[in-house]
Amino acid sequence: MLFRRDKLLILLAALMPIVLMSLAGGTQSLRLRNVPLLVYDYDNTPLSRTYLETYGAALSFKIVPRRTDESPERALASWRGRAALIIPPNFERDFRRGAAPVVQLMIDATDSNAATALGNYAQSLNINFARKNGIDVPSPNRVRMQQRLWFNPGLSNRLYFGSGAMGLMLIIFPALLGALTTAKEYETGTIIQAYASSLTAVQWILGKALLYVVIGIVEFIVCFALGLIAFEYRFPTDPSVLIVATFLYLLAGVFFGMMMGNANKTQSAAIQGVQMGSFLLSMLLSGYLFAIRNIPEQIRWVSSFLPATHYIQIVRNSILRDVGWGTSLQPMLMLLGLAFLFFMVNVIQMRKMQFQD
Amino acid sequence: MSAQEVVTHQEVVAPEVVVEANALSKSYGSIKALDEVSFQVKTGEIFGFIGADGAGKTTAFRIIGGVLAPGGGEVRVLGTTPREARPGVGYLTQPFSLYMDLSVDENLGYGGGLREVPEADYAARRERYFKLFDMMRFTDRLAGRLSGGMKQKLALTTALIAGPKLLLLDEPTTGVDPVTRRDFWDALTSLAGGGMTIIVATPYLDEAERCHRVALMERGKIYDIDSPANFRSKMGVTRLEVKITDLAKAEGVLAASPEAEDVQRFGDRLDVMAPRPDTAEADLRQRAEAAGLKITEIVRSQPTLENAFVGQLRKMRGSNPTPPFPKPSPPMSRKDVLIGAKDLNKIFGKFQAVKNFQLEIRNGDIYGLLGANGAGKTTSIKIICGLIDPTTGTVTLLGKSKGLRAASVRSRIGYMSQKFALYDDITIGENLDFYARLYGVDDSVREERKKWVLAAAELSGEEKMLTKSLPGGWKQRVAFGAAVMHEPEAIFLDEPTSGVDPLARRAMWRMINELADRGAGIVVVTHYLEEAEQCNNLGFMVAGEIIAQGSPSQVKANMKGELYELEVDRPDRALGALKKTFGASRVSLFGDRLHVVTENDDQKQQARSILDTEGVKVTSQKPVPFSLEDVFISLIESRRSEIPL
Repeated sequence: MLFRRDKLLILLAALMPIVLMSLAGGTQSLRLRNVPLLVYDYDNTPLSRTYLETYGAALSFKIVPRRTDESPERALASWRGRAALIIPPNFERDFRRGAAPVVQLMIDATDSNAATALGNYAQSLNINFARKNGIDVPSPNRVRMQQRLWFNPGLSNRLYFGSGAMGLMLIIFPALLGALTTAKEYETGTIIQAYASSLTAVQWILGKALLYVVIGIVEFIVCFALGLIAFEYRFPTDPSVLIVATFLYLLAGVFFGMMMGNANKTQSAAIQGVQMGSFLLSMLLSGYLFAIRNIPEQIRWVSSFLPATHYIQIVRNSILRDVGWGTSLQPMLMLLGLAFLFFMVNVIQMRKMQFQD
Repeated sequence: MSAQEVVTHQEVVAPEVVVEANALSKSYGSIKALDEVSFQVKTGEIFGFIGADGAGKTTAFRIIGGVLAPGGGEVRVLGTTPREARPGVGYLTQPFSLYMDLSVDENLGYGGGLREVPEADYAARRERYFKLFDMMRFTDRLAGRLSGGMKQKLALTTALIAGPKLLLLDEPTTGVDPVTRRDFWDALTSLAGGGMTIIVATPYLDEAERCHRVALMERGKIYDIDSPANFRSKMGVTRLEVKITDLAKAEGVLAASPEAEDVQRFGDRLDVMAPRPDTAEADLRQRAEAAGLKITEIVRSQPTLENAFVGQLRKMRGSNPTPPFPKPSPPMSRKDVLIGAKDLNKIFGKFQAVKNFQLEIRNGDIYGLLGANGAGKTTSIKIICGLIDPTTGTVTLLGKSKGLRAASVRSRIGYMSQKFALYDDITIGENLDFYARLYGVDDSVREERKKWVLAAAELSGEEKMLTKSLPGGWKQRVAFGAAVMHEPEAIFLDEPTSGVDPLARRAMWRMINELADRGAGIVVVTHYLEEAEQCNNLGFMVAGEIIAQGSPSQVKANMKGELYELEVDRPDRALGALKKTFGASRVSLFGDRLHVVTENDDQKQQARSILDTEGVKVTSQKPVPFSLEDVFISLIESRRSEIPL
């Protein structure tokens, strides 16, 4: 009886536990799977191709095509691959001669845990190859592998999670503030004052949102300072990417919160909405904790609708990898799109500036 | 005459229509909030929407204010659509549209900014209205920390800051004590005198007397619009206030008279509506004598607006007899002190909330505890109910002064708080079941008692209805029933009939009287004087102390001086001049009539000469009896210096 009348109760009591458990359980996988691998085969002999097949056959790797003129460094920076395998010229000849050719593996160490695991796994594949293809006595040292870590050579976990954490903070609190201030207008009836004036919906929405974006910028500065002190943040060479992204991100967050406030009209329900819709989803699905490629495909699309997904990528691009506009352009456009989408929902909700029937 | 006055005068001669509604309708789902209402409001008029909760007042305001689209019919505001007219309309909403965590000045600044008020106008109006409302000292205070009256004045200032031509006031005096209410109405009268048009909604009929014209509303319909004076004279009856022994019995005896159109019981008298007062008086005296009752006094007066409204409602709905309490326990005849307090004091930090509070309520008493907001009424009641401990003093409940928290004592107490805790998400029937079990109503009578509550609230057969779909006044009636279903002996009621229409209010009071007649002791906490008239004993609280006690007639009789009602040609001017000499508490405006309290003949002369010098013509003058409001205000004024701001 009670459940039928109180929709929020059904949501909290029945639906959310199922959704949450599937999300939390389904995405937790930390194992490596389908890591995109760029291949630079400068030998191009049957043996070098066999060597590559070892990687291609492993479930952990997926060989991805590369652009002809692109250096491995640039390719890694653009997120097209998470590692680059470079086979030197004369690989086969040196191998046959027992001269132990040196294969290079460049690993994107942004995510330090994944990088370590990746390195170990590649090493074991390498040894395996040497054993199988050894002509006389199999020796693990027939091929030597040199691993080089990019972006985060110290394999610092702090920097990886510390930079993601800023993304998480900046989506929770501006969204909460936006939701609370909007819902409160309905709760206390003060919205009628705005209805009764000639203020338009767009003015109302922007006026409220910009205030909280300003507050969000202050939060960003504080978080960034904390990051410099405690999480080994580095100043990006080109800070403009991060600044523009932060502004868009805050807008998206505040608009999202206001949208929840408009839809729920009470502070308590709006807080729930923000917690579920923004905090929890961002934590689980934005790539902050678990790599997006580990998220089950059925729900992976949700990630694209989370501003945090795109922002965390940009933050890591900027302060961890220190790469410029090029690689951050696509997530930036996504942020812009999401901010606009949430804004438009607000405009539709408020378009009448009147009581709804 | 100055130029401005000439303009005002012309407007009076050729009134312009400010709001015009034709067959205006609005429905929410299957509920008709407004059902083809038509009315016109003219420049400089104070127009009242009078009706209980759920009558459609707020819906009408929202439509006129341009914040709700009308469902049907036509409405023009200031010669255009409500939406277009918004810049010229000031709108005070209920609850007040204030930001509690902003200061007084910040709230006003926000209102001014929203309405794009030019800076010079803003400064001038801020100064003018803050001075008028005596708010200058509080401009830095947070709105949340203002008293109810101050909040109301701030909300009004915010509505006035854009210099509107039309002012919409939706129940502006809810939660505001009588002193502030009188100030507020004086301010409205002077605004209207300056050419502003005011539409005001109120559930309180004593306030409605101060409007130029009122529209009586019920369930989305307006069924009459007229001036208060016309409403009264249209009834064609005289009100006889009959003081008589044994009111309970007398009510039935006098109601049987063919000369009595309506008999209403108050705390210490019966009001009888009589079309022919002379024959009626004779007949009543005869009947009383035959029944062995003694009439001590009959006073003739005009019917009130409430009488008119009740008459109207009757015509429309027919009379609905209150069902008797089912299977009551035998009446209690002992005369214990059911609710008592001796030398109660309560100190919060440095603030003495309750000072030497004494109370003695015996079987059959209905005691009204009156006082402005913050006078200490609620604290005293909480102490007596055992919700908080007194600093010093003793409490007696049901003849006992120890073990007051025991279940055996609790189950014999009924308490109805102002916002009674009916659960919104369950049905009315489920609520009643819950409270019946909570208070231990015996299974054998539960169903009958439930039926009784529903019948008394005119909701028979509606027990499957969700509680939240009821308007406030109806919830109030169910809540009352739920609080007394277990036949409590000591009953506490906090503004039991607020938001209830006059007819239903009378039904509720009949039930309260029935409980008292069978021996319950009842305390009614209120600052609405319509409720106070129903009590047979009153206590006025000011600054934590009861400063006057007595029956309604006694406290009125104790007033010094005389109250005169003057009809004058320029009431606004007269009000200003008299207030200067006599003080704000002794002069007030009721529509176009002026009430003045004079203490002796000298003052009477003085008032006359003041009006002469001001060039105000007095068309009629007569002494009128004091109302409880007058008593209340004079008591508070006498202790003004002790009331914390």
